[in-house]
Amino acid sequence: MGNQQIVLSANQLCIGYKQRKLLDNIHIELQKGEVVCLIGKNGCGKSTLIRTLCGLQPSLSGSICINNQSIYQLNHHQKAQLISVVLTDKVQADSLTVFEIVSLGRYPYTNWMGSITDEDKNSISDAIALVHLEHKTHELYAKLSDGEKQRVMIAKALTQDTPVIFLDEPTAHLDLPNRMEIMALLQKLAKNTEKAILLSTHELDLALQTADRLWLMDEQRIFVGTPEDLVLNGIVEQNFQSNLFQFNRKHGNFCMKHQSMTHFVEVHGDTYLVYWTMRALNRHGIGQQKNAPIQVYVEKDKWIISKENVKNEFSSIENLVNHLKLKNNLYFCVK
Amino acid sequence: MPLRTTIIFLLLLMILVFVFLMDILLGSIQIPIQKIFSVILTNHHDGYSEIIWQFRLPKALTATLVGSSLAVSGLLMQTLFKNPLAGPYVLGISSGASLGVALLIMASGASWIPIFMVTSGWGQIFAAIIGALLILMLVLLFSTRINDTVSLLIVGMMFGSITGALVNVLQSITNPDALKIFVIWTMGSLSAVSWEYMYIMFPMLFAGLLISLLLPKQLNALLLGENYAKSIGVTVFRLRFIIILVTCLLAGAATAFTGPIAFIGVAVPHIIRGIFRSSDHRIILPGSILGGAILLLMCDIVSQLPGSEYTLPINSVSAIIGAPIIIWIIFKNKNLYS
Repeated sequence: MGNQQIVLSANQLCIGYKQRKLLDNIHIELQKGEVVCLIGKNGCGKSTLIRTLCGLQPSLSGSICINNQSIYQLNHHQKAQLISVVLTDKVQADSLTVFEIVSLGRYPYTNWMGSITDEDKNSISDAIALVHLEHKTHELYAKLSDGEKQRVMIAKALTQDTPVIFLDEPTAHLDLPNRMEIMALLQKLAKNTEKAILLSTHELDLALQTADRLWLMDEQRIFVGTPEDLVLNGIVEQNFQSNLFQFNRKHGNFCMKHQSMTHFVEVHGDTYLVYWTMRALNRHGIGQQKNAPIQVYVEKDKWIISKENVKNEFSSIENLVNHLKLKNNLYFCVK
Repeated sequence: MPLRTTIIFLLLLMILVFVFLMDILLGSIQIPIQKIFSVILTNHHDGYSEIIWQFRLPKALTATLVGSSLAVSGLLMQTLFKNPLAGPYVLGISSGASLGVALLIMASGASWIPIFMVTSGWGQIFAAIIGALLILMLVLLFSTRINDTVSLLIVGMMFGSITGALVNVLQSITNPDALKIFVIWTMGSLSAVSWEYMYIMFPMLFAGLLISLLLPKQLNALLLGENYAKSIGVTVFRLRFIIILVTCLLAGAATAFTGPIAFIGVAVPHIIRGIFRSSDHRIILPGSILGGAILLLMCDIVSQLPGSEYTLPINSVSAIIGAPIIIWIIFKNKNLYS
């Protein structure tokens, strides 16, 4: 990939605070048209990195260049035309309307009075439409839900029309459809307009699915790579392992580690039905084992337990689980 | 600009002209309206012209300017500190002015101070300006070191407390005559500004108001919070410095010439936001200039108790008239912002 693809680069960057250095010797770069997800545990410095990269917080040492120009040589006005941000800061502009807040994204381009031209107006309406808030355009910010407020700030960043967009936890308050929607929107935006987009998130599933590259941050360094590479070389697993969760390499998601299985059954039937039945049983410490003394046959809307030729039939997984739990001793203690 | 906003501006302007005229007409001596025009437009001389030129007109001008200045500085503080209770005096400006005046009046017993300094208005004005300026310098010094507005607010309030306490100490050890002069100063007076003071006060307040009119775009950005404001291109550090400086100029000068006038600064921005149903500073800043002038002129009319010999302290009237207005707005809208 050619050098001209690089929009933003950090060299030997050291971030943190005077009293507490967070991370040293960071070398990272953002390329045109890519979506990068920044992941890492709580408190590892994701927000600090984002604030440092966009110049809201001084770095301890090292350089940050945007379009081959050091950001420390740019004034706020120039920076605002290169980088837009969505922060986790609570916005208290309760008495402004959605339109007024989004229009502040045009701040670097408007005259001293902040007058909005027709061109600005189009850009603002487009951004509001992209985050699906057209019906709330003239609503007060105070009356929006957390998710809507988040989307307003994203729209503000979009109208700022910068080659680089940083978003700190942009999906934090969003429900699943909106989360997907925002990620799809950012992907599309990056591809269509060549913007470089960096977002931090806690949601590993989402990051693995949508990011072009990951920046995986731990206490010592930042691992950079495509999600697939970082999964295959075990870095993702190693960074997020815990007693409660385990990473499922096959599906690229995390599942809860259940208490170790104390009892076993064998389940027969359609794979899809068996999968969901076992999920429920796993939760109660019941595992799957070949030739277990208890056999479960699953058919559509029908679960049959067979033990020593005594059969019981149930109409739902809930009933099945309740029965097994009630009869726990009866069923399992007898060898 | 939406039609509704334009209409409200025109209405406010008309009300301003009306209350300005009323403020000149009404008082212990009622002046017939046709007299005003004949006095102001022609060189006609009689008893009325004396009252209008030497007393009523400077007082009405003072009320207009001081009302606007206090309202604007209140709005600036509310935006800077993101606090609806902030007013022009949160940075300790009025306490500083009070301390200056208190020191001067209480020290009047001392032989080294020429007596005319104490009894003439100029002495009090200088003392108030020096006191306000001293606190202003301290706050500005701290504002360059403290990056956080809430901390700055607390520092300003602490300065206010310290100077307030010093004023109390001075009051308790001073003689009753000097105390009375001081207490009268704290009640505020719009008629204290004669033409010779006006030549100083007018440029100061006018300059402050003009500078504030250059700020609405940046003030709007500040509503998003300091980080967001920086991210869209505001030099927050410089803006904060300018806001504090303008506030001190407006509130400091107004206080020096008329004494502390409570309430206008806190109340008017809320009233204006309520009337225009907006927080856009391009609307509410000029709105506050009109609103502050109107409210203080109305307070002055009431304080003159038209037709009677008595006058009430303007500081009390402004609170008695203004507070119910705020309560009414909150009651009507259920809260301050919707």
